[in-house]
Amino acid sequence: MSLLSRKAIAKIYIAIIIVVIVVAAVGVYAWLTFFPPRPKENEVRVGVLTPLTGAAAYFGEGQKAMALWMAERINNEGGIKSLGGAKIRVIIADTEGKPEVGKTQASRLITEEKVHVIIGALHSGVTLPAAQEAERYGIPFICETSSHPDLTKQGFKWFFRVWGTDAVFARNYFEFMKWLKETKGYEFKTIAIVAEESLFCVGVATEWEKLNLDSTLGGYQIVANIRHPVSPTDLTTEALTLKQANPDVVLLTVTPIPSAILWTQALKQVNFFPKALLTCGGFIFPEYLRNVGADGEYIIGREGWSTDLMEKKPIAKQIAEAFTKETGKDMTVYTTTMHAAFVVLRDALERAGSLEPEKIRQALTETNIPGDKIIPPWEGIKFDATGQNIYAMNFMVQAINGRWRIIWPKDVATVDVVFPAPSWDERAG
Amino acid sequence: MPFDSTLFLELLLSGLFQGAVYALIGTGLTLIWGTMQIVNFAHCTFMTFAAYVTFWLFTLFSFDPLVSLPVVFALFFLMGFLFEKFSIEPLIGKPREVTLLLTLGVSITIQNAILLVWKATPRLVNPVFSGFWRFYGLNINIPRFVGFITATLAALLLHIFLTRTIYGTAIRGTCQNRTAAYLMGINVKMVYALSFGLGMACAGLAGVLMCLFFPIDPFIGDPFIVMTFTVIVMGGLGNYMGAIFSGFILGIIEYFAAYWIGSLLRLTVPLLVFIVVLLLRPRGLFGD
Repeated sequence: MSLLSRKAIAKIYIAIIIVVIVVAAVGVYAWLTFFPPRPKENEVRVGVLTPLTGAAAYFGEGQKAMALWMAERINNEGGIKSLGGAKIRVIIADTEGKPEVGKTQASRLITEEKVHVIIGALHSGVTLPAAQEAERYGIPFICETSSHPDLTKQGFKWFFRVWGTDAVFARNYFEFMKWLKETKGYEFKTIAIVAEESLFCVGVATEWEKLNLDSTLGGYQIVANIRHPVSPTDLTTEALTLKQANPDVVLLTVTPIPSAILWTQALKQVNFFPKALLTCGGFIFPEYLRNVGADGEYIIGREGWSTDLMEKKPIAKQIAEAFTKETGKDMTVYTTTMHAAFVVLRDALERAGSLEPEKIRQALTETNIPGDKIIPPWEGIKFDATGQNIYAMNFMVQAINGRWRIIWPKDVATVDVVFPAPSWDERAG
Repeated sequence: MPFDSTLFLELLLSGLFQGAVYALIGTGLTLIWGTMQIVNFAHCTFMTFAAYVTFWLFTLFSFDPLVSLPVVFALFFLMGFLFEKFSIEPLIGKPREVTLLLTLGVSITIQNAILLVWKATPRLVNPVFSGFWRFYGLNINIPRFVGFITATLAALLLHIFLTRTIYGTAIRGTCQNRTAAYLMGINVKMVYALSFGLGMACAGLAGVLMCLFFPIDPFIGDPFIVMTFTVIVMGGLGNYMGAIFSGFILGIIEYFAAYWIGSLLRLTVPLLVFIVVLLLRPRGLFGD
């Protein structure tokens, strides 16, 4: 008979296994604590903040694809030459379109992933807390698309915005309306302002209201001013309100594409279409037109991307064709700005010749990229003291024969604007 | 402002059409609660999943959503039945939080799986019944009207099933008193699976109807969550007639509130009504 029973032997074995596991875990923990894995120094770590879940996930997916594609492209061309061919490693972080998540992700990217630069974060409401984190740790933050005017009024030292501000863009709408009146000789007097209740859209609508007070630019009678929730399930009542007010021009801003689709359906249902429907946000995407088809015709939007640009600028054609072919994703304004952010990043890193944050920041302040290196029809990219690109501007597009065509300003326009837009009945007839 | 009867009618119909969707989603959820006392947090996510199944049937086989209706109904009934048998049944008798966490986990998993497989791109199905009827200044959205008719028919059939068949009687019996149902020889476990299957089938039907008039994306279920729970509590937890009735009522209130009070308060006003109802009748409109 053995000295110990089977049960006792089993217990000893289990105890040994537990001890081994505990010792191994403590060992690994101690090793990681005292000898943390050193990040490779021959790589540039770039954190990209973008929404991959939530209502704006479609835009985030495009941005992610562009960030990875640009990094691969730069790496295949020999990386950052002034850093001995250092490769760019992109670390994508999902913001879910939520400010608190964006802040946490920015903090994680800086403290755990040890990124050298952050690019992001699409939503203005997310960019603000994320940029505050970057500011706190002294890490350069290249903002690609967020356009809220307040972002460059914070006195940030590490913040650089490629894209324009809502104040500039909102002004573009009123300049366009003025141009429309002057060139088409149509005297419209009333407008309606519609916005979903998001930071971006309310910011745009507020700018519109302010600009309308300027009698040289605006001075129209606002016959309806509608705010509706984000992610609505139906917009029939809002469309009925518009129909009852019957404005000449509707200024409408919503972000998600489904909301833009719902607006189109609702306007068609109540049988109302203004002389000009000027939109901002979810309308201007290929996916929107693919879904609504002919119902999207004659809608006007503010854009930073249009396939028309491929006829105007060789770089736009080259990037758009290669990107869509290799990733299967559409070019949108968000991929366009992500591309511009990487152009800025590469240029700054080459000039900085160092991965020290202060050197990169200094190089960013001296950015002066000519217009032929970027997709939008701007003079180039150059930051002012607040970190704002002084050349950023928009153009207006109109859906004509299933494509977003550039209609304004005249020097980049490819087709003439259809104004006033035909009513639903005229189109059916 | 003079009374505009056309506008009034248009708002009323739009509210009814939206209410039908609330009623259908709410009916499924309340059925599950009524028999099993389980809060199914994945209900609206299953609706989203059904919308994607409908979209795929449309894209791959050119099935109109109305043709997909019985297919999705059967599929989701089966899914619900099996889900209950293998996931919920082993947890019966455990604290209520366990099933609550299970359905929440399933909801998150399904939503992210949808995002992974179909991406966030919004999709629109173009059904046979599309466009608008315009007469005497009235504009009727045909897909929403078809959705309303289908949802009402489904509610009617469900009512017939629950009141005129032996299985329906067993479900209602279990709802009223589980122990008594056991003692009467009712196979309560089978009733649970049947109820869960039916509840899921209702979510499936709602998903199909969403495809008729709504651009679908992985998050379409989210805006319906609050209203669905409001509908079932206001109707009286577990009472399917209450869910149907309060679905329609809240839909109509929402549309009139959105037009006359303000779009931002479109959900606030129905919720205020809900609070008043609960103050007057804490067990809901149709509660025991």
